[in-house]
Amino acid sequence: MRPPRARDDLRDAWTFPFPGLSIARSPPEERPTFWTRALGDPPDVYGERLRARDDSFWRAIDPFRSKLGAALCKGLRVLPIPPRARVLYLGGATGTTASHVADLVGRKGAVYVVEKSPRSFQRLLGVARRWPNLYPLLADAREPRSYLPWVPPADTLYMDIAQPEQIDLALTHAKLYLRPGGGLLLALKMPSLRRGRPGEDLLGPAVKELSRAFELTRPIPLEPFHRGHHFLTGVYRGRE
Amino acid sequence: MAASPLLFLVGRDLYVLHPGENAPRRLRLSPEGRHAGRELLLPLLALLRGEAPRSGLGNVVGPLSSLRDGGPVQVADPGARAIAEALGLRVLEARSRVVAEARERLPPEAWEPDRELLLSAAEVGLEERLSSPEEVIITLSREGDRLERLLRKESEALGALSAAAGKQTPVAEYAAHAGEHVRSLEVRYRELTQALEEATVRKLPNASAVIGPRTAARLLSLAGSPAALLHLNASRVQVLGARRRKPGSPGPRHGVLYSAEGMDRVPPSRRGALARSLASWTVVALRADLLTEGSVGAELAERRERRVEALSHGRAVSRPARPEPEHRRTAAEPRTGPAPRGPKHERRPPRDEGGLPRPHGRRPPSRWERRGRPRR
Repeated sequence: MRPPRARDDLRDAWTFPFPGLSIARSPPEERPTFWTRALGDPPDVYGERLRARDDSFWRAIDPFRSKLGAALCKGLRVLPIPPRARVLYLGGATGTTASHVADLVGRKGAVYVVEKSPRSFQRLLGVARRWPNLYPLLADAREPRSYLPWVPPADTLYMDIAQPEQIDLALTHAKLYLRPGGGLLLALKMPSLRRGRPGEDLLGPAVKELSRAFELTRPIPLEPFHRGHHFLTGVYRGRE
Repeated sequence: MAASPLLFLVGRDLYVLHPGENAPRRLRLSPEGRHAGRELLLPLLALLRGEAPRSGLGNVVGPLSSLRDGGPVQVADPGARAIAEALGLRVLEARSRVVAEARERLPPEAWEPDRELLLSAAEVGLEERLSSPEEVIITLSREGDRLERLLRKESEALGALSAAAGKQTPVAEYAAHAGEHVRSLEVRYRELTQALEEATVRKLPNASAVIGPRTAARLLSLAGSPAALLHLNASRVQVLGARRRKPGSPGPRHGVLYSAEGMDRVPPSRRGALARSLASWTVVALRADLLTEGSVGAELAERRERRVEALSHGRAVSRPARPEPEHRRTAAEPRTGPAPRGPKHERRPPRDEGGLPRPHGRRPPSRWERRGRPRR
């Protein structure tokens, strides 16, 4: 993947190993566990495993709950969530993954979380009160302009919305919010795109469409953690 | 395109980028202190939704009045559009690229997040969304179902407990306390059910008349929203809330319609039939409730009663039977009318098979088909 143009110093922060992410392998043959340093107090959000180290709590990312965690377990090697980044997070649900992303960007970063469902948002708001860098927005990601006044130009776009127009929304949001050279993380839910015939390739056209604006890495299938999902990462080339 | 000025909101400030200028100019909408109170938040939220503000435009009218005589203005977001329209300006939707470039020209301090404001805006917005009649019904319905499960468990436990308790033992004392607890739960459950039924009858009067308010509320909570409910067809309503079954097993006959009015008066073998009818009437009633505001509930409830009556006496039909057609052609008689079209084996004249007409005009299975496909 080509390194981001605007801030080359990010290049090291994007590639493995990632700052702010601790990896434990015990016993060594098992799959690794990824830990983020908790910013919130009390530190647990969804009943995840906790560990105290260096005067702070570290939270394990549950790959079965979080698509980001699953992608890390399946060998994600490019993570455009460096410290101090501004992240626009679409589809935050109850704040499971969003809180880990907020841990990764640290106190000087900010995560703007968009969630549509009022019931999920209730719990997200509870998490946001404890995480000083988490900003919740009760809005619909299918109307990208409705939260324009709240969200500054972003370094990273994280999308986890199971919608047929996922790809179009990624392109629209990138145009409106993402700075050139910014990162994309996209959990693509294939069954939501459309009802394909058995054995039909839905991923290929989606990747091709996205490649118009992003330089993508190889999609990571999230089996066995999440069925029918692929995780895509990429760099925004900029507005044409 | 670049010739018209661009309006956009950042937090609660309105910015204008005039053509030819390098940086956007800020116009403060509400000059009050940093931490807005609720009364300030409400107009702000309305603005973000794209509704024109009733007040707070005073300090904008002056700076923007120079735009009035010129051409159209470009707006980036629904809030800016509402302001521009309220001021009587001609409005164009700005292109994404224009918006993004204008926003990048702002100094970084313009983006310092007003956390207090954002959190209280989120709170107020959430409150607003959750206090609409349909969300009240959904919340109460889910809580009612939860309470029902809890009550069932608790009463079972209480039954076991009182069976085990002697007279003057600590167990008996504990059982008495547990009994109080269960009774207070029952009181709460009754109150909740009553509130739920009132809310549902108000929002969905026709559907409540057909299947009962409790079941109508369950349907709404399963669908998630009135719009989603309107998208359901009768066959979907019939099985809404049924458990997922193994592939290959017969499908479910009813979901939450099991708790509908009249279900308990019908023998179990006929409940699928009643669910089928109820589902189609429910769809009609829901459309009356949510679209036309007509009242069809009483008539549909009457039809339900007739159907329940018919099904509970072992007769499957509720409408008078159709008269038999006078004469039906048997397979042996020659066809009149146009020549039959279809697969070749059906176009051949029927073979004489001892005078027995074939049941559905289908070719009898060959010996190879009867035996099944040979195994490899």
